[in-house]
Amino acid sequence: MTGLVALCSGSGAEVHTFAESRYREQLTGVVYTGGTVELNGADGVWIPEGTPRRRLAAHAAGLQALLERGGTVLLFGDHQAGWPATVRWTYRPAGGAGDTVLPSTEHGFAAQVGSCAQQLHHHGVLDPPAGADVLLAAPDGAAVAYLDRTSTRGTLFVSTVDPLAHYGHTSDAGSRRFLDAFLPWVTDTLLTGGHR
Amino acid sequence: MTCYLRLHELAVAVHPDVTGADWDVAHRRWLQADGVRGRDDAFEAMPVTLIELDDLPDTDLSPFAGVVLSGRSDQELLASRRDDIAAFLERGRVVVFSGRLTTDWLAGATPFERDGGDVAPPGSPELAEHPMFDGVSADDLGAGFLYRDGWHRPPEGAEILARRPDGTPGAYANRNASGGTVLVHGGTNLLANAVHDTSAARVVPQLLAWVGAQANRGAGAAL
Repeated sequence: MTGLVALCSGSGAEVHTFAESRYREQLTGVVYTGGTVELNGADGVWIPEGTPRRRLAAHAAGLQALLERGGTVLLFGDHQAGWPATVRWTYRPAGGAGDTVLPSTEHGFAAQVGSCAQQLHHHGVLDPPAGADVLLAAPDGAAVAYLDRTSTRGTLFVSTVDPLAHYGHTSDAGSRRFLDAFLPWVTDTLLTGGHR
Repeated sequence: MTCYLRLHELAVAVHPDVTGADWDVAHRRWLQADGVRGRDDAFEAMPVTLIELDDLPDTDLSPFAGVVLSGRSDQELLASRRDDIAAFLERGRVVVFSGRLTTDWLAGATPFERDGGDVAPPGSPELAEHPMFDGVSADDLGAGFLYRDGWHRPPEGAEILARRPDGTPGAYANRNASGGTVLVHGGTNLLANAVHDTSAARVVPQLLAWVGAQANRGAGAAL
């Protein structure tokens, strides 16, 4: 199963989003987290915000192995599962829609996804590891999304925005615009190694 | 407002007697919570027991008046326990679900139907006279209380608890023949209103009190 695989923990939001043809067509598989998670061969894994911490911890070894062999992992929301060890998250009340900035304007993310990302609110901020590219930041500079290509052989995208939750639960138009821009960027740039 | 900190991982089991709990203490903890531990501290001050959703199949629910489930609950897992949940209701107990029902796991409930979306009028809900809403301002609950993009069509005889701005039902309670009750709410988890420092937070203790009262008046096994 090459390409981008999404983890699904059985919620209505996930089921609804992954059933949408515009998103399903960009996925080579949707894997239920309540059972055995086989990631062999996947190039990237989309881990939705709200994935239960216990399940994420249970599948951490496989996800870490994917990163170590050069794969891509996409993380959203709050980050309290203890994996990946490099992710340091601090709570802030949800907010910041329209106030975030794009620190790396020359980065492909800024051009392809940036304005859509700026319209989303976020849940807390991140302390990126050394060498990470901050893609989206709060007005005070705290990271809201970053790309870590140094901690492992792979690519880890970490953010505190929660587009699936809002699209899946409320068909939020801003979240739809983000996903419509973000997933092609992932497929065309991250999965092909074009960012290196 | 926070979305994920803890609620979606849990079945929140409501104790049959909620009278001993001090809501002011719990509410303060909700307002101060900055992560999963903070949420658990807040729950500790409430008349509830937290059940990890993945542990639900191995949990005896008989001591509890009801369970409150989040929209991010694993409905595949719940569907695998449909008969157990139906038996719980047959004993006169209560199941509260906020979100969108996408699988058939809750007897006496109806599936989520999409409509409206972004073109639906935004606005505050219209609230029915109901103990859960005593002293609660619809404006404090706000436009996010009920989904704009769909609803659960109430079964015949169900009590409408809240309506969307266009008048369609957004939440209902449906009592079955044995006295068991389902409350279906097309919106964010009712317990999440505890994070507000407004009248919206009153929904939380009043919901728990209502669950306890429903179960105790049911015709099922005594609590």
